[in-house]
Amino acid sequence: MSWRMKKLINKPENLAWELLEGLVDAYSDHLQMVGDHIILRRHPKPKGKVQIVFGQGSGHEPGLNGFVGYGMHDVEVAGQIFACAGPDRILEGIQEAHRLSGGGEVLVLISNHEGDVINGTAAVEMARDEGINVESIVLYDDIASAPKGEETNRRGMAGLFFSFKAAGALAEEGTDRKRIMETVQKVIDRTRTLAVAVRPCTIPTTGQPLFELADDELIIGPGVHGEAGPEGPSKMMSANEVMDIVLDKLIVDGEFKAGDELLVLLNGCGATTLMELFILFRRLKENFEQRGMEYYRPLIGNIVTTQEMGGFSLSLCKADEGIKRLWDAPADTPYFKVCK
Amino acid sequence: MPLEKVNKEQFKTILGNISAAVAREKEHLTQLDSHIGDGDHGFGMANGLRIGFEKVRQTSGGSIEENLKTIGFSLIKEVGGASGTIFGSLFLGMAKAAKGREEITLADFCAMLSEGLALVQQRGKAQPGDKTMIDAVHPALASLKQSLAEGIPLVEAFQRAAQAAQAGAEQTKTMIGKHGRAKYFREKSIGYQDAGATTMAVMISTIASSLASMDA
Repeated sequence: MSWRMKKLINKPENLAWELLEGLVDAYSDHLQMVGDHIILRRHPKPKGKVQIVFGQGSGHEPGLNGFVGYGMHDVEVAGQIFACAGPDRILEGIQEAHRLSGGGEVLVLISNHEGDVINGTAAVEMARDEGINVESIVLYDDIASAPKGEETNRRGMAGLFFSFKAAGALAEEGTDRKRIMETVQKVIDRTRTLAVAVRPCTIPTTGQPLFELADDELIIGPGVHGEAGPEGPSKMMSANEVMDIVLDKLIVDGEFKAGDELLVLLNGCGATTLMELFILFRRLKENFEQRGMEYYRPLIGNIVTTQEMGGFSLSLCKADEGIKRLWDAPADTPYFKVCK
Repeated sequence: MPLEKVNKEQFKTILGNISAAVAREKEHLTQLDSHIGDGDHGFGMANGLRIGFEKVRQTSGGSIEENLKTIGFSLIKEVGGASGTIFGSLFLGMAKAAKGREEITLADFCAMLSEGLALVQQRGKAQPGDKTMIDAVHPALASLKQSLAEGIPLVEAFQRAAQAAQAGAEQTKTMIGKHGRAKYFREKSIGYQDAGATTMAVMISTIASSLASMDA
């Protein structure tokens, strides 16, 4: 396969830093940068409330560095492209959170990927050695990455957004960390995600395709970095066909049933148009109606992308009144807002 | 008189050679990583080593311990992900064992790699056979220890260790990935050589060739 990258970048070595600087420059009313590219809220929440820290690789914009702000994250430590920040920078983020909370509780949310877990865990240990009051929780949602029954081995994907929203809303209200962690675990237990890739992206640092896929094929269950799904490629299919397959798998795994009300995140991977996402959503509605299931305030768009990868991920979370209230809670970040 | 030890300057040369060798192999390593990883291993490692060695070069008075630390922290900071921290930990562990050493003998190399491997395992929780860089460093260390016990000179010992590391890296083709992104490929990861183990083999081979040229 011939492949030529066409991206508007400068030096590949600098691109993670340059994108973060551009983001903060553009949204300086929401964000500020301190130390080694640590992103904080421009208007931190009052001291004494739990500070939420998140770190992950760059290259998934606007996820998740675009979601720092009121009702969401307090501190974001973004690493290189697709690579979580090292423990030294995550520690720096935790130290900032400690300062902002006035020595109060800090919570680090970790997406379940090897680097994120190794580095996040190391940073939390280092912070505790300094006397910082910090806990972490590892989040996962991708049903393609490990079978049912091995949920904690699953990867973190776009469905973590439900957890981030719940954690951010609770922290903003002044809820203590123990309660936030219990709620986040409850949201994770009720969340399932499955992705579909129709076209690979190029890795911006190397110019190479992240994976290979024939023109007439798609992959059900790729990771957020295009890692192949357990089933390998399938022949290309229509929006309705692929949505039905994805829903079948999610609903079986999540044990969702008639009468359930679900949060829905239909996430574009980068190159898939809103046109396609709306066509896919239309089928979701039909499918839900047949099953007697309902959705609650769906979110549709490019939330966690993988460069210009074509495809989508669908995340479902079985809601209750508490989860719905947190989903509805106000948020004000550069790329995600919920009005009061 | 065969080479028995290397001094601070010679050790610095070895570090520079490692950085250059990984940069030369960048494309190959990245290509290996593209099958069962996220396809940027070579790029990340080369970049982290380049920045680390540049700092080592600029601080001319640094001890062996300090120079290893500089490389280790640069890998952790600049590469990130699992590989930055894992390879960074290897260098930091080696630095710990090199504390106070003005010269490095075969026994010192053994102690340094043991300490490095211990820190890698503490961080990454991987065992031999899990299809990681440990599958190259573990046999290399075993070979060095055997050479030490048998009184084999430094240059020859590292030539044997380099062969063991390369064989170990190739052996990863037969293994099922248990860590990182390779884990999600399960049985499908068989047939692909681990990029981290390959980088480790490149590093050990570079130490071997550097020592051989110093022995001339």
